Amino acid sequence: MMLSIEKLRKAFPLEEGELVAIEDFTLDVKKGEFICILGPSGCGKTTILRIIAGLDTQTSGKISLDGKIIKGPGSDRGMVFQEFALFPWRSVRKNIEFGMELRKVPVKTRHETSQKLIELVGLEGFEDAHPHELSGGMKQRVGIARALANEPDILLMDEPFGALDAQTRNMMQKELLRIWEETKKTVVFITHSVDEAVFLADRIVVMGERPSSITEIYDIPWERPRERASMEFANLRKEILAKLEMMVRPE
Amino acid sequence: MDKKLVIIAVVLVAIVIVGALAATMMGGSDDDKVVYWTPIGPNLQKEALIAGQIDGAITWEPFASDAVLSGSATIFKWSDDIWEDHPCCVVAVDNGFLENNRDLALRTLKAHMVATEWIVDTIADPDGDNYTKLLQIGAEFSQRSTAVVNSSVSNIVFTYNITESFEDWMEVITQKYIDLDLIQGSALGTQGYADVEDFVSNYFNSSLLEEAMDIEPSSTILNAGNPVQLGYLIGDLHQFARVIANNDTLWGEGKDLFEVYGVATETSVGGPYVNGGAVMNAFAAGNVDIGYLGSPPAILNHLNGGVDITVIAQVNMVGSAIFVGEDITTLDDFNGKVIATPGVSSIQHLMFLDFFTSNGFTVKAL
Amino acid sequence: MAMITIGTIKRGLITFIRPSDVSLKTDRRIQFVKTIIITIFSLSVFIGVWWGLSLLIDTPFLPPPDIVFEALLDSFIRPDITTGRTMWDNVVTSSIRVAWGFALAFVLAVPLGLVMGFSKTVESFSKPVVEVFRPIAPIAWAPLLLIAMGGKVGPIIVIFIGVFFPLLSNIIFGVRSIQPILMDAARTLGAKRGDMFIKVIIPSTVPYIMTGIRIGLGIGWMCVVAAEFLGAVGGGVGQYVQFKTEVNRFDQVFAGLIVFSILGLSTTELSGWVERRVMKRMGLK
Repeated sequence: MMLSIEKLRKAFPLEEGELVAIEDFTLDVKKGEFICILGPSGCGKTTILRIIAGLDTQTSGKISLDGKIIKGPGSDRGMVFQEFALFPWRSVRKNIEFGMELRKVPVKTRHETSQKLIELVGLEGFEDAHPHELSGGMKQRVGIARALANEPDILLMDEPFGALDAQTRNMMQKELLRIWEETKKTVVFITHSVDEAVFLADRIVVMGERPSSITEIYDIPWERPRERASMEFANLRKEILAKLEMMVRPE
Repeated sequence: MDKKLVIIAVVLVAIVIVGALAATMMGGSDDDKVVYWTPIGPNLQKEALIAGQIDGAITWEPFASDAVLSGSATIFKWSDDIWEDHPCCVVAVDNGFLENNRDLALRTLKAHMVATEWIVDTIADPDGDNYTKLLQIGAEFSQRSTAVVNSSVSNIVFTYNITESFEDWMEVITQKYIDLDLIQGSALGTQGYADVEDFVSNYFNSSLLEEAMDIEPSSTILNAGNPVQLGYLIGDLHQFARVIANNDTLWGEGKDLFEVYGVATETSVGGPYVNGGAVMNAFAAGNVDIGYLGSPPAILNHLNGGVDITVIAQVNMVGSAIFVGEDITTLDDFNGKVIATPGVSSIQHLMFLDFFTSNGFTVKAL
Repeated sequence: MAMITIGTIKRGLITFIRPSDVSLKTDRRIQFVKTIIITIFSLSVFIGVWWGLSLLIDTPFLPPPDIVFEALLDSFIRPDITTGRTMWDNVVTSSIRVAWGFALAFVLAVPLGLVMGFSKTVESFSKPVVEVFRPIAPIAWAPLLLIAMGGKVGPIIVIFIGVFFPLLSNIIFGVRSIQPILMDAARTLGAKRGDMFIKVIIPSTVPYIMTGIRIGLGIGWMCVVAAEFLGAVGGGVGQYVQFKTEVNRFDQVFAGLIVFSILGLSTTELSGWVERRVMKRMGLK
């Protein structure tokens, strides 16, 4: 077991009392596992990821990575953002090399690594392009490569394909699985798309509405690539959807 | 990319600095002889000299005498030695005012004539009581001592007549302005004059002096509540006649001389002015009905700016000077020095330009 | 702008092809010619109206364009008698003033602005001071500064004040406008405070610095006019205009105004060009 989340609680102070976003969230993630956290918008799933990344702090609870308690951001965790968050003034290569620059990796090693990653995510020929010259899908390829460049133990992905059109999203899901299989990284993947979660995950963690905690965990031991048109795919999708619909209380 | 940024920034700043330095160096190339000028009001020139801002000044009385008597300057040249017997200040009237208030203009002019005669007579009798009064009035007006006034009046010739030699001088001055390109050659035509002679004979009009000759005092004020706007220069004793005419202790019944002739007057808005150009601008703005100013600015701003006035009397001749600090004794000493003038549109400035350019200097603004 | 089309799939990887932009180039050329023609037409109309107006009103205050053009040419060819300088000398003098004032402002405003935008402590310390000085029109300083610092340094300081505050505000605003997500991204990649400043804050503020420069230079030219009117030492276009107004040589006054227009325009155009170059180099546009 590598990532361990224990009784995580996050509350925001209000003028009177507090707003509890996350309550009693406990989860263990195995090495090399692909976890999808699925939930309605506003359920605090992004907050969980940000706390794991060290960008936010929890109110109480414990998170550890390989037994080490997490305090603040670190290069052992790579993050991929829905909005891509690429540095617009840096070329594709320079974006990917950002983390290595900070770690003072020698230029030669840096170049070799970034070249490998560019090939891994399929961006040959665009090494010197700037983000504004890229399509959304390509931008997220850079985002993934950049996160991988620090050789993190775990990849945190915050709805990474949420800003993409359906066709590109499907393609990127396949690409991500290929990259995942090549790199054998542990992935925590936030999404609100049931279809995406079923297509990608080893385990799907379904979260309820605020204050959210884990409602249900689905194990999906199926082979990849998964066939969306298959019966079992459709059935599981339906089941999870029904679960989610039940949780969303009418406003 | 960060390196590139730094390089771009450094290069930009470097270009600016190198450019500035290079240009500063280039600016140092020397002409043979250069004299610099800067505009400073005559009443402030002595202080500027003492403060070391300037090395000398060209000025009107009493400020030349004042600088000398205070021990801080010597006279390099009197204006009389630059332009012998040159005319100086004049009385001018706004043409619109003259058309609608010819009687008031004539009466104001009459007071000017009488005051001028009073000054001439008083100076001729330095032992008389009036002379003491003259000194006191002059001292109060110019904020200088009676000794300064005493010296000043001996350097000024007071007269009101528009004579043939006055008109000859005006032709010379107009021509100098044109030669120096301060007045465009085409300006005469634009203002409706055939040539310099035609301009002078029209613009300087002696007929009002003749008309005003026979005017008698009036027991009533003819323009009560609507005083004539008089423009004149700061502390300028050339225009002593205006000061004397404005004085209400000399003419009985607590009236000043303008009132004796039935005219209420007051200092125009923005006056007194720093130089003749400022009086002309006040004429143009409609703030002055009748003004005292140097004849050259009256020419300059009439021909260039079309200021619609007529010159109707003279005020004085000579009475300006170049005074200098201790660094200057010869003409060559002026090289690289800074001389104050009352401003570009003053007789003193024209005289300064004429004197130094004809002596081989390049004249530059500081 | 995404101008990328998805191309062929080979070896399981997807490669991309950039669209050819030949047709774009032709379009741009036509647009350019069109702009030129309209500009010429607009200026011709302006000069025509000016000419007509000057004939109609017939006042020395509005000389016709041909006279002004003549005065303009003449002013460059030979030194005039009031200033003893050619217009070229004056242009150089004024430009150096603007350059010095600007360089000074740049050197101080950029680091201060970056630090003020970044550090709350520095900001709360400097903000009251900056806010007290900011509303004062730079021209209001001119009379005092010209006496206190003399006619050589005074005008430069006036320009400095004029350029400093807009530049500073722009930079602070630039630092504040950084997308928080970029800072988050940098942090997850291991950036500490110092790295953040140098590798994220500074580069992403560059567009705002460039805009500040463009605005600041425009203001610099306005300040130099005021300073030169009030008695700068060593000539300058403002001094020329001032003296020419005094002697009522309105043809030369207009010549000076045209020079100011050209100087201001070319400086902003130049900085706009540099801005575009830098943005392009940085891949921001």
